[in-house]
Amino acid sequence: MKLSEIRTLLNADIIFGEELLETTEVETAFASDLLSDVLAYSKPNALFITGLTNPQVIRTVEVLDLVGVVFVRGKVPQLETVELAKRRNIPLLRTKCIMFEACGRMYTAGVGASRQTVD
Amino acid sequence: MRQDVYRGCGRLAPDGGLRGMIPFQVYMLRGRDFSNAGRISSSIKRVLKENKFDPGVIQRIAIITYEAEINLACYTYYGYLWIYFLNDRIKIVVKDSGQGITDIALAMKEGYSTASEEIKRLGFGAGMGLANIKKNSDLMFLHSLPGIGTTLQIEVLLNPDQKREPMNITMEEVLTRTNFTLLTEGIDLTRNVTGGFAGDMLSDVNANSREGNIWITILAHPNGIAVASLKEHAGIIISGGIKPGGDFLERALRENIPVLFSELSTYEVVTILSGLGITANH
Repeated sequence: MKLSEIRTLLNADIIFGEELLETTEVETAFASDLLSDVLAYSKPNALFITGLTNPQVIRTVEVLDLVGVVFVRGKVPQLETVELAKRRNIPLLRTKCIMFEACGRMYTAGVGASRQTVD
Repeated sequence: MRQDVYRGCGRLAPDGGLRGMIPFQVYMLRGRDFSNAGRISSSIKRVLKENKFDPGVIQRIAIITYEAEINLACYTYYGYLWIYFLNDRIKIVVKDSGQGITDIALAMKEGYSTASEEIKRLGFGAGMGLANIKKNSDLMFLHSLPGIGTTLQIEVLLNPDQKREPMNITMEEVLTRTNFTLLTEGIDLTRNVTGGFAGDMLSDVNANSREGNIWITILAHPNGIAVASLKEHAGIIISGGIKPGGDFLERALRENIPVLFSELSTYEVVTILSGLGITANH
């Protein structure tokens, strides 16, 4: 699924990367407010759904080769976060959905989990 | 970009190969600097990508260095990170000047954390960092002096399927392939050797030797047997021509620890063992 479709699905604002929405393919996603857990468990190429707003979100995306970030619960990322995402060319969306709702809409539309269980 | 935060030296061969040189890079890391944490791991990742390392290896290194950076930002004043590109592995050493870790076993435990609220707000400090580093490395060694700092050593093998070969050598073979004298007749010598450790300070042996190690020492005191037994050593070699007394050997027999004797110095004994393929613990 294209990131532009996810944007419609979540009724999300584009914070950065309008021109990336058509070219970014999203097959899986990982949702968490704990970056260490994302680092421990997420697989590459997932879309990252989070309520965290600090620049470490982008570092984590970079380390794991994730495809983009959706900020949930209406959170606005810090300026530094947006600046870093621009430099790294990582698309950022913001939705008023809570995390469960965002995940539910995406899952129903066919976006799978980055991983289903942890060992 | 602040120049003083990051510094690199040493470089890879121009063709991206690693032949004929020992390339390494060193970076300075600033503690208490959350906004810059992650910059060094991202630049290391770029270097690895440019040099076409295996994507799995790149990601493991990126996660390890990133968690190390976060730890540094959380708990230290400053530190250095060295990355060495060896033939079959990448080695990373992180040394910091920070508060140190009092109980390493506890710190390694998933879920244990001493993080402040500030760290937790960033999405870290859930006690996953060191466990994450360990999970992604093939070899991890952590040494810490509380109040002074911590050294972390990591190795990641370049071929993911390549694991360290078991040494495949028993105490019996050590005995038959060397001219060391067995002082404890009748003790089982079939146990496998996992490596060697040389040292004469009990607290050091206790802290750094491992199960299955051969311990080389000039220390022929019965307390040594207690340590060897506690650490489940494969055996002890008393070097330097020091003759252990009766109480020492008696205790060795009781605790089932093979004791070998050599006139050679510790250094020479280590050289011989290394010739048999017995290496250090790293």
